[in-house]
Amino acid sequence: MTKNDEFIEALVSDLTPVRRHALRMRLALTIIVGVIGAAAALLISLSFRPHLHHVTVTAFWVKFLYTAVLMSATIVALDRVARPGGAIRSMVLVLVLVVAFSIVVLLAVAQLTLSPVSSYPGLIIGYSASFCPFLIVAFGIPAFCANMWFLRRAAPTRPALAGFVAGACAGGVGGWVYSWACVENGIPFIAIWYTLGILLSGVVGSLVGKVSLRW
Amino acid sequence: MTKSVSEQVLKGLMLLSLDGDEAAYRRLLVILRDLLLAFYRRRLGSNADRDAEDLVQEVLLAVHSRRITYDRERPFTAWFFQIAKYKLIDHFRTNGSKRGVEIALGDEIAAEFREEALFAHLDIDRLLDQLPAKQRELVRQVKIAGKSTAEAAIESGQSEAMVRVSIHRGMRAIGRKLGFANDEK
Repeated sequence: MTKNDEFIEALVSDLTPVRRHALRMRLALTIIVGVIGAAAALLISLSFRPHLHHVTVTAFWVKFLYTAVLMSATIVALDRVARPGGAIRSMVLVLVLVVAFSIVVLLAVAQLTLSPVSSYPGLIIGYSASFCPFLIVAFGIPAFCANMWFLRRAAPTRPALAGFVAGACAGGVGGWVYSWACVENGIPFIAIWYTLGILLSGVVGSLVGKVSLRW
Repeated sequence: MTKSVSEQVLKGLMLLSLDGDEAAYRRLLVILRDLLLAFYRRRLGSNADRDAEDLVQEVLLAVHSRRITYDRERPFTAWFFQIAKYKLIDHFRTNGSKRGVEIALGDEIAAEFREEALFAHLDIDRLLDQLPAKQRELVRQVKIAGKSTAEAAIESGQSEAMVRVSIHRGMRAIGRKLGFANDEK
């Protein structure tokens, strides 16, 4: 028996069945962990915030849906980049992201045109522009760790891209949970600061991925 | 090097392996090892036998530990080739060979590798002909033409469960003809 035969025998004896869609089940678990982590962060942060401002129904739903769409699209992308050779070739996925962003931008422009100029700072900068993107990243930290854990056990062949998707997805999770209790009413605010927060998380993910997603 | 094998055979072996069939898995790993050894030896040049063997083990280990990332609906060889390529590039990188990385990234290798592994002399039709007519048709439609079991069920007028069982039996029969797959179970 050569060294190679022994090696193969070792692998064979270690064989355990892999269920259909096992990777997707693992991804679902990963996302659930991320959402629970973000929700915990939200609860903790609420204890520091004495009162909830009134949020308009429209602003709530734009935030909620925008982040939900970004989160969902990046979850699908994560399933792709986790596999060898995985890239974002699907035009549908890119289209969903572009359309979602465009709709929010259009709504933002509409809101600005319908509002007096004096309200612009409130709609664009609001109370929280200086920390909103960072809080989104922070809320996404549990999801970030979970996503990286997921990818490290998968087989991404493009570490930087995979890391970006994992980070953006974590930002999506963080942003979505953050939107449950965000006090801003400006749609321009959402278009700018939410998007930036999610992108920031993606960039961090890309840097981390480059280093840590090699196998 | 063993005689070339086709996508269908390798994929069939992989699917059996994912269900825990040790004989199929052993057979699959042996075929992959031989394919890889030939491939890497040629790529790495002269006194590269040791490197090639190390690389082969690395790829087999990656196939093993990351088999969860194989999507049953997709071609096996594409998945496997991506891992082999990734490990080759990684090898060149750690050895600081820029030229090697460029070569490995080139599509020309991909083409060569696929030809080597896929367009094989293994005569799938001859194997299929040994199956009962109904089973043969189902295996052909689902495993080769790529139809879903649901479509095949409608066309053949059988229930989907029956189609699955029939295809499973057909694949096992093919496996036995090729000299692998467990007879028990």
